[in-house]
Amino acid sequence: MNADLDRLLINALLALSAFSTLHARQLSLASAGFMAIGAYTSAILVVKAGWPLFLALPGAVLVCGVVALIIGLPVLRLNDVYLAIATLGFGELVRIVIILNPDWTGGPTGANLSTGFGYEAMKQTQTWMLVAFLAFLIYLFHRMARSRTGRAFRAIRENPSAASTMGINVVGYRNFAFVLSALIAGAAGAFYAHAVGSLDSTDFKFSRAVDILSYAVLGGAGHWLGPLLGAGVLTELPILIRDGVGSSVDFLKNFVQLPNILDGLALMLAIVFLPGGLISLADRIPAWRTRSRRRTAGPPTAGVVAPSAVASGVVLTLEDVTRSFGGLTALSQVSFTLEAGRTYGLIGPNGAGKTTLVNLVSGLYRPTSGRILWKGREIRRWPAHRIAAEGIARTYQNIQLFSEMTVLENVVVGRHARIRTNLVTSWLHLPQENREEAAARTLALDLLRRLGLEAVADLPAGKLSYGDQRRVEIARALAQGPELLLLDEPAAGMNDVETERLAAFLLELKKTGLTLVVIEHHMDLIMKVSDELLVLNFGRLIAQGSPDTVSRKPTVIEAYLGKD
Amino acid sequence: MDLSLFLDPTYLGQNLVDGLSRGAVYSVFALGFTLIFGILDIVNLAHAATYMWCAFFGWIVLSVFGLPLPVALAASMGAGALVAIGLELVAFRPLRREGAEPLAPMISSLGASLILVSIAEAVFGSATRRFPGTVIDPKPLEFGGSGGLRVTWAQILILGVSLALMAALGWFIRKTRMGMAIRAVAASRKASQLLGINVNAVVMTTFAVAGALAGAAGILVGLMTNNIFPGMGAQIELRGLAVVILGGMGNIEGAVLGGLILGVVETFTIAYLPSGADLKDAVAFLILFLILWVKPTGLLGKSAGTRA
Amino acid sequence: MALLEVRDLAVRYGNIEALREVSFSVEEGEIFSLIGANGAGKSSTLLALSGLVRVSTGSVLFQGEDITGWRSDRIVRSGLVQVPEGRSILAPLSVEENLELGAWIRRDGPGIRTDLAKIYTLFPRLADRRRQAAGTLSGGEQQMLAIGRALMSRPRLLLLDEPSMGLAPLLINAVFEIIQAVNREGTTVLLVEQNARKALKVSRNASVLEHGQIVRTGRSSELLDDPAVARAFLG
Repeated sequence: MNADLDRLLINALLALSAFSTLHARQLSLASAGFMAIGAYTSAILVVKAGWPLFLALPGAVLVCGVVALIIGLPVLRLNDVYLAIATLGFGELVRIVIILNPDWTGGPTGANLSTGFGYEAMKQTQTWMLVAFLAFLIYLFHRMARSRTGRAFRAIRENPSAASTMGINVVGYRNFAFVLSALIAGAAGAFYAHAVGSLDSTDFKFSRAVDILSYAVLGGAGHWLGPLLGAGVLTELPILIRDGVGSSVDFLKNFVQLPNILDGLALMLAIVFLPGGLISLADRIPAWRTRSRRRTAGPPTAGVVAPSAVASGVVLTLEDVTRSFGGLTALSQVSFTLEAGRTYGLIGPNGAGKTTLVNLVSGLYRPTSGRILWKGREIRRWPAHRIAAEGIARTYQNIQLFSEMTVLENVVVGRHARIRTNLVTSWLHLPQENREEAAARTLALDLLRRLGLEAVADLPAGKLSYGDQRRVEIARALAQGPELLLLDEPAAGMNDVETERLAAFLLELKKTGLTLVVIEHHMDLIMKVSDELLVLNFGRLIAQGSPDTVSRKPTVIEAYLGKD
Repeated sequence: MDLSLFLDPTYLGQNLVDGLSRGAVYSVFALGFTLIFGILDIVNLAHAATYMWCAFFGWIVLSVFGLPLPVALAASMGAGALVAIGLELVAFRPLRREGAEPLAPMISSLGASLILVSIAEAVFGSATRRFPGTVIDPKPLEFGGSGGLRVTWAQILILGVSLALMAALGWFIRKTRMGMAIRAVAASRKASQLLGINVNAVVMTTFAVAGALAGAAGILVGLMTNNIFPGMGAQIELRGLAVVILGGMGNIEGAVLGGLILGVVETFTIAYLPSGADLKDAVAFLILFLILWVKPTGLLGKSAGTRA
Repeated sequence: MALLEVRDLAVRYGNIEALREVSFSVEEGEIFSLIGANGAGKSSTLLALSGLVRVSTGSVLFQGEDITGWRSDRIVRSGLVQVPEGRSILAPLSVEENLELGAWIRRDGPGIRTDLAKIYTLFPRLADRRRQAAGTLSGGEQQMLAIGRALMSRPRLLLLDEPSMGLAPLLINAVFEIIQAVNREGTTVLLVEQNARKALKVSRNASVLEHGQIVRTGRSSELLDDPAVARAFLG
């Protein structure tokens, strides 16, 4: 048994634990706490209950999972800063529980020979176990990265609220990531206990959590390989220094805190100079960058994305909808109905409440009062991802693409709610996953083609021009197969030619039976595509009717050009 | 459990005094946290490491140089200000550019904290240091004869210094030009820039004040517990976080109130609950989790002195 | 010599071009309007002029001096002061503190007190509420406060970003009357507005922004009747 290698492997496991939460864009400092729970639980099971290792390890992991579920539920609702603080508190709480229960854990003296934790019973970890477990986790993460789940996490990491309007259950995924992180940290802790042979509560003090974080931050949380790289560098570097320079400099040989100082430096330097971590450097290697391209898409089909069920009659109803933010009333008693298959232009001056309205319908906000009915059902309390899955899609006024993902991937994210395969099918590598993924990519490519974007399908979305980015957003929204599509200033930043082409495309969409709501300031575009106009001013609906009538109304003209 | 304890007014009074003096120190520490959060919206997790180094610095001034307590206090506050300014320049300012991650400053402060604590461990080792016994008269004052209220000079000093610092801070924030600028930047950085305020200079000043408060807390805790070691930051950091969350992030009055409440609740836990001494550490966490669950914005929320 | 000269100003956010080859000049003593539809680039222009956003190419000359790239506090000290969009008043501070902060760059105590009294005469509603937290004021009062605050620095050039936004019509009239009164006292004004008619009526010269470019410059009275302007707004 090689102690250095064991330490490296355990740090790799811990790094993966941190990766699990970081790649869902959450800063959790709970890994040290779960590591402690895993370590002590396994030690107690082996020594006090006499369990064999192969049962004690899963037992310890299970306990961590249960604890994670219990604290995860309230804690993961919190926003970033409060979550980090809560997990910080959790770690310390675990340490206190350990110290205050010496009968179980050996208390402040630690779990060692003097407190009844015999060395022989404890020291059981073999290096091959660590290697096998790490390989297993790598397989899981690798399959997850290539699956719909991995794509969902990438979307959540870049832009959680946009991801939710694509049908991704952000809270659910984050809960999963948190529990997974706890399970891995617990396993690492259990392995650690039986590798070292004795435990001390100071093994899991706060600096441990920061060390674990430094592996993931240095390596980069964009890909599972990153944290492994980080763990490798930060575990080996102190050893290299000690064996190299340290052999001639005495104080370095016994400089216990060297790894900690290196970890701290790595954190500070990485966050300032290389926020994406070491793995982001890999993007400079073409072979790495195009790895996702090497997956197949089927042959092009001729069909346009049709709504999954063509409705008729009234599809959306707003009744006296009001939305206030503190003292400011953004929308006031707005009521209207939308009929299937028609195109509505939503116009009004800056600050009139148009985007607020779209945010309410798509589920990002809840109305302060009033009702929102979609095909007869009250949806005002529904979370955004449920509304998206039910057939309402939207684009954003200030572009909310996942800029690091390719254009094609962005559009495929839109298919999230329509793909049936889940993580289990990915992990078992069942064939239906490939089928569904290929179908999704085909459909996505098709949409890009129809919007004239197939040439840029493999470029990172953030590199496109403004007008092109807007069209990618539209493709992404259409990929959801919606029945109602809300477009928030789709022509902003487009020149005349692009606006013409957009108008033509929207007219094509009308023919598919899709219900459209278009917010725009480009009046010629609005007049060309709309069957009906809705005019908002100061949060109130001031006019509704055919474009000709509405545009001639004095109140409307006044709202735009101003009063004398 | 001795029920008669609940009825003993002297016991109650004693614990109130102990609790307030303990709580006052928590408030001084937490004020540093809350100032930084109010002005930059970030949690400086290296605040505790600053405090720990200042405690050691004070110990050096007292033990190695044999200088009197007021000198140690002033030196400690000065050192704290310098360390905090260093942190702002190295850990926070480089991240204040466009498009930086909102959590990056917090992560950066974690790294700085790790470095500072590790260096302290390497330099000072894990053995605890104590302030020399000659620093302050350990004989307590007694009121009402033996069995009455006992107050040590240390407690009087701690309460006195803490209250003085809080009053000074309040005056600074409300009555001086720079204090007004700090409140302006906390309310709106963009508007402050358009008024011609040099935002970076204001931020730097805020850090200096926060660091000085950490330094003062270091000396006061040294007097209170007489137990100075590199890991001492962890205990007070959690308490500081609990206090600012209890009182409302960025809220100065909240930090004062929250600290006093925590101090009193902790002391009462030890005094009235069986095995209370073990539980006292958990009090801060329980308060933390409770508030985060029920009302994350804290008792007083973000109010006067912070953004609207 | 124009008080403010903008030459070929370009501003980019990442690879998005917000402003391209923007040029115009503002004469001393006039009210100049910059009008355009939502998203045309009006706010980007003002952000660039006040130093809150980096200028990619082009230059800005103020009082004959090249102020391109100057830090925001230096620009304010030179006499170019902005009242930003949405007022940006300091809500937790009192009305009086907000006004005092307007004079941050000044050191003449007596002069500041005189000006404070003048502002209270100009805006009596603010005098009534001087100790109240600014966040409790109504929208119109906040706009008055924002303008008063900017005046406290005795600016040479006052930039106003959409002063009419979110205000009821009666208040808009009051605000524009004040803008004209301030201008009559000698302050040059650069007015950025979505309410084109009002802006053109009070200003002498104007430029029209569309998609980040100036498409028309001329006397406001002529632009009022120009169909190109109507097109830029109503398509």
